Amino acid sequence: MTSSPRRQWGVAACGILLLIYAVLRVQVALYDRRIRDGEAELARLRPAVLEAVQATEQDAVVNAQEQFAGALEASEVAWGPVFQRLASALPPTMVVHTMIVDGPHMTLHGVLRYPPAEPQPYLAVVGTALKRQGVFQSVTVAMAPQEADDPSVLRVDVIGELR
Amino acid sequence: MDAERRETSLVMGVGILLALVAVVFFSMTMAWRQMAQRQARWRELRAQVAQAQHRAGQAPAQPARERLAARAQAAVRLFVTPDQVPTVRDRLSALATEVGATLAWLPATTPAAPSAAVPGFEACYQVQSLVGTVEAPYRELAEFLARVAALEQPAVGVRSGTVTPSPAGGRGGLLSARPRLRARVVLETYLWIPGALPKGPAPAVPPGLEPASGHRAALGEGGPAAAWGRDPFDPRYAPTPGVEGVTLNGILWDPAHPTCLLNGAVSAIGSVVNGYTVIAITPEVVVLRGESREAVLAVSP
Repeated sequence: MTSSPRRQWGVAACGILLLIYAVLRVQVALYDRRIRDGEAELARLRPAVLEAVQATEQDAVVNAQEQFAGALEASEVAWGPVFQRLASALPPTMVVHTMIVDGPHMTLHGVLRYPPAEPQPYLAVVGTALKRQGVFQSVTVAMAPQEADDPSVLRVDVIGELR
Repeated sequence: MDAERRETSLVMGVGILLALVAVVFFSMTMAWRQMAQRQARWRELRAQVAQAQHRAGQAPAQPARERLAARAQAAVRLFVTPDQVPTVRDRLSALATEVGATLAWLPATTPAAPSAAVPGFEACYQVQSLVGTVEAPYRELAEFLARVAALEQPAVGVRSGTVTPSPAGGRGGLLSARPRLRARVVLETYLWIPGALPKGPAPAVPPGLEPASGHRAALGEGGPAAAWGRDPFDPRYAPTPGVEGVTLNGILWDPAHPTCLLNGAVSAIGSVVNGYTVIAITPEVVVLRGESREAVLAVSP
C-alpha cells in the first residue's frame, strides 16, 4: 500500500500535464479562429484601402502636375510686354540685326548709328532704360571698336536676363 | 534469476518512463510554440486590421472622388503624348495664322531632356521640342509668342529662338509697309512620366514669380498697356513724341549739307537746340539726341 500515494502523485502530475496541454491546444484553436476572422476582415477592407491608396497617390500626382504647371507658367517670359518695352526703350538710332533668346537670356546684336564721341556713358543710359522699362533684370551693353571706314556706326551687343 | 529479472524490469520501466517524459515534454513544447506563433500572428494581424480600418476610413467620399477626377482630367490636358504632337503643331499653325504670321515646321520632333525652366521636376517629365520658323512683323511675332506661352491645354513653352530680318523683306519706302522678321523658334511640349512625383518636398515657385504675376498678368489682363515704340529691327526712323521746347518747322534737303529749321532757326548736324543735338537729317525726319533720350521729329503735314 506504500505505492498508493506515489501512484496518486503520478496520476495527479499526469492530469495536470494533460490539463496544461489541453489548455494550450484550446488556445491554439482559439487563435486560429481569430486569425481566420482577421484575415477575412482584411480581405473585406482591401478594396476600400486600395481606393484610399489610389486616391492619395492620384492626389499627389495631380498636386505635382498643378505645381509643375504653375512653375512653368511662372517661368515663361512675358513675350508681348518684352517686345513692346524693348521697342519703346531702344533709341531710334539703335537698329537690331539679330535677337537671340535662350530661356531667360536674351542677346541683341545691332548697331548704334551716329554714336556720340563718348559712347560708353550713352550706352550705359540705354542699359539703364532697358532695366527701368522692365525688359531685363540685369543687362550688359558692350560695344565693338569703332570701324575706321564707317565711324557713323558702332556695333553694339546687349546681353540681358529677362524678367 | 529473480534479481536479474527485477533489474531488467526496472531498467525497462525507467526507460519507458523517460520516453514518456520526453514525449510529454516534446508535445508540451510544440503546443507552447504553436500558441506563441499564433499569438504573434494574431497581434500582427490585429495591427494590420486596425491600420487597414484607419486607411479605409480615409477613402474619399464620392464628391471628393469626383473633384479629384476632374482635377486629374484638367491636369492631364497640360501634357502631350508623342502621338498628339501633330495636333499641337496644327493648333500652333492656326494660332500663327490668326495673328498674321506664317509658321513652317521643321519635320523632326526632338525629344529633349527636361529644361531648367522647371527646377525640381526633372524626374517627372520629358520634353518634345518642336522647331519651326515664324515669319511676321515685329508686333505680330510678339503676339504669336505671347499666345503660345499663354496656352494652357496643352502647355507649350517658348524655350529659345533667333530673330533676324526676313530675307523676303517687306520693307518698302513707307513706314506703313512693316518689315517682316524671321524667327527660328524652339517650342516645348511636355510629357508627364506616369505616376512620377518630384523628389523631396514639392519645389516652390520662386517668390515674385507666382503665376498670377506671370505672363498673363503682364499681357494686359489687368494693367494698362504701354505704347508700342518702333520695330527695333527696322532701320527707318519713325517719328517719336515731340520734344518740349523744340519745334521742327521744315527740312531743307541737300544730300551733301542737309539742314532743317528748328524753332525757326536753321540747324545743321551737330547743332544744339534746347539741350538736344541734331545727329541726323533725312528728307523726312530730324533725329535729336539729348542726355538720356532721342527723338525723331517729322515735319507736320
